[in-house]
Amino acid sequence: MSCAKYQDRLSEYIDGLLSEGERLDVEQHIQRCGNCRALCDDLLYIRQLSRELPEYEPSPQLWERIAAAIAAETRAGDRRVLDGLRRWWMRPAFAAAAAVLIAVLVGALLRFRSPAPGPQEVRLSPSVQWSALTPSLLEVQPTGLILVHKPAVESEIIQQRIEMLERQIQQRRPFWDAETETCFRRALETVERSLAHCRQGLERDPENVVLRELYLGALKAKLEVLKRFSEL
Amino acid sequence: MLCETVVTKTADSFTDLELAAQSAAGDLAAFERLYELHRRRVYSLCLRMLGNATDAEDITQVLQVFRRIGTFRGEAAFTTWLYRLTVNQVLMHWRKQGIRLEETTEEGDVNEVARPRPLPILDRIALEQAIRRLPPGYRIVFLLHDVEGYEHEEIAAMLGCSVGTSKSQLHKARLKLRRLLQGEG
Repeated sequence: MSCAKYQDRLSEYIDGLLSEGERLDVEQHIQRCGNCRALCDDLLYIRQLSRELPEYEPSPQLWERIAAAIAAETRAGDRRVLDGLRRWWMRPAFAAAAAVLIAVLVGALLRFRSPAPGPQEVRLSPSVQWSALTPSLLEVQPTGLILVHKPAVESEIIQQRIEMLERQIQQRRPFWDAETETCFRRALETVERSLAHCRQGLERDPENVVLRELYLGALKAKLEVLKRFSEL
Repeated sequence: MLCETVVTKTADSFTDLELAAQSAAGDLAAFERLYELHRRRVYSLCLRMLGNATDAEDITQVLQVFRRIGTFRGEAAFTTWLYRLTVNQVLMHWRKQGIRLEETTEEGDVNEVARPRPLPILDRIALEQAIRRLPPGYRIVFLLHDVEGYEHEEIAAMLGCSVGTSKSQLHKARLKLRRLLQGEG
């Protein structure tokens, strides 16, 4: 084999990528050939020196530029969320229609009173949050089975999350601009109106399951509104 | 009696994976920590590939847009993922400038038999300058392999070429560097 062929393999040789037979073949050649040995030594030297090259430090202003770009991007994102909310909630027709629809539904449902459902026997998954279950919602049977009033539990949990988000919003609210404040008040008024209709209906017919579901839906809508505004 | 030990993690003790997840969730402090950990390597690679500090900082800054993208799922080492992004940015930058990363074969790649003169003792400045004079196709493979320590398989995946191409470009890069360092350009 010519020197050129051996030289083509020198990089793989110094990187340890040749098979045992190939490696011995190249090794024997460079022991005999001064030119190829010199080339091999130089390639090793370049590789070694390259591994010792230092790392460079970017200017301290680079992080400031990155942080500023992130802040601008976040503000733009907040704006997009707010614009979306505004388009949705600022339409008076929507807010009025939503409240009227709930009122009509509550009225209609009250005409069809349902029989009172008893508590449900359920198997709780290991992931259930026991801390979120209030004792009044649990009923321990003499057999050891635990009865859980499911819809009530869910609304209790949502209520707790609503309270937590309301506390978060109270901290952020002083920093909102006037537009955000108006948007929030309108959104909240609409869901509160729906919740009030549901509560009135449930006072007259506490066991109406459809009314309960409607109430649960209105609570979830409130939770969603609070979640979105808590991020602003 | 059962004793419960509460271990609170400090920012320094989070892994890259944890910091990346926190960054993706919008935690700026976690992203800043990731930046502190990797800024030198990323910036140095950009600087050596592009040859000037302004472009290198621009590319390093551009990486910030990836902080929220959930493409890093911890399957690969974070640094490999980060370097792939960095290399992509550099390739895009070159593409905009009309530089194509095709397999480079310089005219005059000949048998080195006629070049017995060994290299002089080098300093790193001479080596840095020589690296800067390599054609882009040679330079990127050389930097990733010899400076950053990546394997040919990883480089091939980053650059979208074959392992054989990566090996041959590296060998040609080393030969070209030798000539440059011998003053034969």
